[in-house]
Amino acid sequence: MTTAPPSTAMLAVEDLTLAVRRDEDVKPILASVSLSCAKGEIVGLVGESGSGKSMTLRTAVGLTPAKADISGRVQVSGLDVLGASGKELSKLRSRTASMIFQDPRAHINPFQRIGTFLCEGLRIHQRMSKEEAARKATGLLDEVGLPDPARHMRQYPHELSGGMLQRVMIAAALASEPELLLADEPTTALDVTTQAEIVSILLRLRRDRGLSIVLVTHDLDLAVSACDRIHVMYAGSIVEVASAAELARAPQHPYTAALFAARPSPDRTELKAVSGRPLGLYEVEGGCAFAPRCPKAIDLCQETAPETRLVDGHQVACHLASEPPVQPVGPLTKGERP
Amino acid sequence: MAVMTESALVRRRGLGRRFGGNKAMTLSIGVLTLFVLVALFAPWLAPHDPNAVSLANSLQGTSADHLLGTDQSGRDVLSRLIYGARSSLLGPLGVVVGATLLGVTIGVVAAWRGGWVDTALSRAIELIFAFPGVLLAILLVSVLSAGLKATVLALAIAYTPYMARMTRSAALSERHRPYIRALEIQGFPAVSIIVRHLLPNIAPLVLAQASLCFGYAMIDLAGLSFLGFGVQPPQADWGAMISEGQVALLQGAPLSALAPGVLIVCAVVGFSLIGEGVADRIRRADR
Repeated sequence: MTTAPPSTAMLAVEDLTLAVRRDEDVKPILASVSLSCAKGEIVGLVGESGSGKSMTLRTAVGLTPAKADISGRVQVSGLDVLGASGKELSKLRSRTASMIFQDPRAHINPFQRIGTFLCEGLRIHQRMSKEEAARKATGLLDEVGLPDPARHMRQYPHELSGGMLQRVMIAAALASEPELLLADEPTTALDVTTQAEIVSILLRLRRDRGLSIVLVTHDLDLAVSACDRIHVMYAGSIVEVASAAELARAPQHPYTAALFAARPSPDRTELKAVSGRPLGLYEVEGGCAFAPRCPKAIDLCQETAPETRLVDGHQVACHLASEPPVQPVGPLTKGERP
Repeated sequence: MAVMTESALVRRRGLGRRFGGNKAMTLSIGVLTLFVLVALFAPWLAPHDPNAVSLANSLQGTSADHLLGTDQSGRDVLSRLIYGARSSLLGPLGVVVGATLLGVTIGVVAAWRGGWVDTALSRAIELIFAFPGVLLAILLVSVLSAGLKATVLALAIAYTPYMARMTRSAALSERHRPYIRALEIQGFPAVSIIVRHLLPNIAPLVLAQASLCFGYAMIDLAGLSFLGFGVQPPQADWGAMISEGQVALLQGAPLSALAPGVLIVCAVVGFSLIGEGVADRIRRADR
């Protein structure tokens, strides 16, 4: 794949394969995932629930399940994450990379004031004095566009709305002056106008701070509008990578095409769901993971997993990808599982 | 939302819980505060020296001089009750503080580390559970000689499993909440997350359990004093007073045994009500 050389890539995941062991059972979660994010780039990771997006993201900060077989390489700013010591990991998490989450209300201690929450990291990781930390925290709240930072510092999480709390979480993530921001569905729990505001904050941070951002989402429109490049993920593998504009113009993989077709839109009267249900990697029995739901599947798809190939600037893992771009997908009918 | 709140209110009113519970708790806090104050200011409150023996005045009924009469050694029962509040409250306090420190440490470590550490600690806790506390106390007394120290130490160990088990389950559910995970991802050291976030957030539960244990510890300590293993004569102690009052009871002067009994019951019920009250509030807040 066209992974940028490790020296310029903020995040480079190469050929990451991960399986969770439980007793005698081995459950594969990720299959040969490759992903890269250059300095100052916003990269999208799109896919249905359970496709392994969050797991990939967590691996980037060394958070892997306790009993897992992992192979491949994960590098963040030159650090080999999978081989890193506990000390290096804690430095990575407290300095280089920060993470924000889908549900800010669940991810902030409900019994602490916003100010306490923000200052804790500054005081522990950067050894600031109380006053210094408070000043910096107030500045961060201002930077993420909260109207009255001084007042919010004294408030408790339940006094703020979801959107405001997500800004607080972004402020907390910025406190360590990270180079890489991992955003795990940061807008999913928010209403549409707030989503737009959060995305514009992310874009501004990239511009002002040169932040690299990996944006995990299942909202294709959001990804297309915010990201430079998009990785589409299905059943633990990346099925298509392309620049956002190119992906929106001509999706190559039938799954990407089906996702675009399934978007609600004002000038469409009927929703076209991708039929069937998303499979976990562990349920796939040879062949292409999407084959059971794919409208264009041929015999070959059932038998062998497709190699990734380069078509019109898209990296796409589909046997049929060399054919002309997939035409608008009608209602998908072939939804039975093998 | 409005509907939910309403039905909840109706249900609570039906059980008479919401206000009844609060009243009982307030009353308990009042009674126990009174006990603590009495224990603190015993020298100023007691009308007589609690250990002044006067055999000529033994087993007297209530009189202006001895409001609750005298015991078989002629000591003023009221004064002994007032001084007895000290060891009777300090003993359970020692038990609860010891058991809480030990139990919370074990519970949190087990919950945080999980895996074999959790398994080992949990089995160890069950082992102590299986051993009767009073028996442990008698064992320790035979090693350390009788007295408050040995019995408190023994009961602190015996009560550790109650605190540890509760703490472990509370810490376990708290540990897997997203905000703790998020703090880990932010690279905070485990000790700082535990001390600054996890412990304060499970503190009310620990407090409720400790309060319940206080009542039980009081009964056990009184029992041990009654059996002669705990506080030694002539020191005043409610449990020991009941023991000493046995003969008096038979001789028709029940006050010297009954009065400390009533106080023990009041204190135990008070601590139980407070514990239940706190636990009830937590349950209500969680709903």
